[in-house]
Amino acid sequence: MEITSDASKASAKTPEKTPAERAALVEEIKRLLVDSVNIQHIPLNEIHDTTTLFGDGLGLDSVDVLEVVVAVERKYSLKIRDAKAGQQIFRSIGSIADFVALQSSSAGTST
Amino acid sequence: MTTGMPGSALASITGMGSITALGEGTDPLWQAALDGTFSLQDGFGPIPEEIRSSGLTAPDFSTLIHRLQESPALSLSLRAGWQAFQQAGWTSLNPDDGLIIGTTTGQANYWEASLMAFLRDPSNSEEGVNRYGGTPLGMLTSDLQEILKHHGPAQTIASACCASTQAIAVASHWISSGKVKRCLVGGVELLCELTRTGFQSLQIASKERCRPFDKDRSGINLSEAVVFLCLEKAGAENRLAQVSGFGIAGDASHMTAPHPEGDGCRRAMQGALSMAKLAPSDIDWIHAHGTGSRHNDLAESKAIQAVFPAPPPVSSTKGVHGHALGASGALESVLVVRALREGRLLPNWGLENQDPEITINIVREPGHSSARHVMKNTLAFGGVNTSLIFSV
Amino acid sequence: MLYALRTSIAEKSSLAALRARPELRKATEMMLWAFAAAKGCLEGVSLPGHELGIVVGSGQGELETTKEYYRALALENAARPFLFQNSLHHSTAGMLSLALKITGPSVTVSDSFFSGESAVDMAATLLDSRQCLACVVVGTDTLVPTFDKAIRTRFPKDLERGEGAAALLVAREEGWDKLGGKADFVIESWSRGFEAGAKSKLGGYYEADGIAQLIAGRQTEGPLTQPKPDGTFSRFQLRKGT
Repeated sequence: MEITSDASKASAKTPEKTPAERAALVEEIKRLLVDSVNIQHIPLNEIHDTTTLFGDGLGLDSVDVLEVVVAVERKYSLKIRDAKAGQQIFRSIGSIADFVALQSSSAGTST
Repeated sequence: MTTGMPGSALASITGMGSITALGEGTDPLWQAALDGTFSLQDGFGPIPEEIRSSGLTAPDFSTLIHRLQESPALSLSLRAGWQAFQQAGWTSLNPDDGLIIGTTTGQANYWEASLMAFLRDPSNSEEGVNRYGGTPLGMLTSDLQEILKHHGPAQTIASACCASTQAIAVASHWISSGKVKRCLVGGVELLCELTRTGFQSLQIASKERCRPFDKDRSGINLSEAVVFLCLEKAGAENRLAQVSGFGIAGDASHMTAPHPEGDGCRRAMQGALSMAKLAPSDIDWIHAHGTGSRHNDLAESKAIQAVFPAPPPVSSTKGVHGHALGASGALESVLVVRALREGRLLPNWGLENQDPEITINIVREPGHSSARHVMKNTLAFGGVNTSLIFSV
Repeated sequence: MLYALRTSIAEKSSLAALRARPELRKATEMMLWAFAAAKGCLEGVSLPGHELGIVVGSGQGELETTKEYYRALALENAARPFLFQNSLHHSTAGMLSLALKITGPSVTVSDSFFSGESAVDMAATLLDSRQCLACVVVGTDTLVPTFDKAIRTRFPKDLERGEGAAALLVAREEGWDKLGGKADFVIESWSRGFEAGAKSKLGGYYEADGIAQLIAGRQTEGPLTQPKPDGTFSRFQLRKGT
């Protein structure tokens, strides 16, 4: 599945995830992220929806974020081809979760 | 313009040979560097297929025939090495000669495809595993030694994009310290899936022509090169140019990006000047690493400004031949040596609008020059920086 | 003459604790081995970073990391940036220079069974050409089961293979003097030879273990011969420390 910055098609038919589903997705993404860039020294309960990847959040560098992108692509069978859209998607844990939730519901399946 | 003292050279360069994306021999490479011909496609510069598969033209070597047939790194090394031998008037390597190879992926083409086939399906033949496990990096050098019947000092340097500048530096030191009389130096880098996909994964490769020092530069072009140089003691009668100094220093800043102010690059350049007993004002031209990546070009220009109160003209020729990784130092040194001999300055092809943050003087047109001392920079992953000074 | 000021052989048991350090979170197994050895020979050494160099010698390099990179590429068409960055031979030296704040020269050499010796030779070049005052020299290789059988085809059948890392801190006169004028042992010279039928007496052998073997034999006064698996050997001429 290819992702471009034109997300209008997807947004037309999206049922929202329930709070429980979203919370589970956030937990899944937290674990995926922690494992992909080896930040196991940061306790999971200190990583929140709003935690940013760069800077004061997780303090990752640009190569870390590229690795996270690939990890998300592999796990959820996505491909992010638009670098600008990618920057917005990979801003925080929550923005990644929102994006993944959007793609899986518009595809009609969850992976 | 130049006030440097003669006689502090470490070694002479007496022969050069190359096989690159521009073709066989140093002439097509030199011509492209002068006229800016750009022939790389989609950001890659492989050696033309007809050259790769046209067989050995050097004397026939029957040992190691399976690797000679299936490892272009090895067969092309012999051909490029042979070009250098012919120019230098060498016919063999003696026990008091040295052999130093700079490379990052070595003979990867020999094992890569079968390794991936094995990983896809372990029930596939173990050939991939056997080839990979049986061909460590240093085997390129030891294979060459076996073919050339060389029993002298040899070394394989794998310091990423500094591999072949370090090889030239070490060879120069071996000669000037009397460890060896002469030294064959090779920079060998062939494209493989690892490097093709790897640089893309770091988002530092560009499908467009690379644009060193340009405000819109968006990444490097990866290319292949097999380049050999014959080095002998300083003052050799048939010398093309001399190596007068080198410096090696580290950034300790990031695994794949340079120190933002080019700190290690600065100290490498200063080290080279100090060894050559030259002042910054003695350098007539800087052949930059200038890959066209956002980080490299800015950091390198800052380092240049920190070393040179009035920097000389600067250019990168990667806009013509791409970035040959471990072989880039040797490839670009060949261009520097030829430029010194023929009194030319090579332009920074690929540049359209200079980055306003980069205020050094970049060479835009080919010109004539009475340059006597040229500095060659390389900056590599792992934060290592190596600078050479070539002189005539 | 090369003064070996410090020696260090990494212990496998120390790796787990190192892995937990935030600054080593991107380190591969081999980098942890190398770090453990390098750190061990910098204990109590106070030289500014730019006067220190680092040379890493490894016969096989980042075997595991490279294999995993190719696996993701082959099976999923996924190019993983971390793995790529770590797969290059020079990444170990890069990581060590970052973690140990070494800003002098850094070099990686890879010369099969002579990777350790080659690294010592490179350190001598760097010291003689005044690139640094003292140099950390690390020899390291790791065991990866997938490739064990293949690598073993270059070794005698009965040779026990191992993995590990060992390091020396070496200097010439000026660095030795600056660091207290004491040396654990002294290397006068080294050479390579070809001896038909030289049998390897080594156990737990890895390609770059020339340094570990040198450390083990450092109390030798005179020649220390290291037979290699292919019948060649290296010979260090040693003297006791000062």
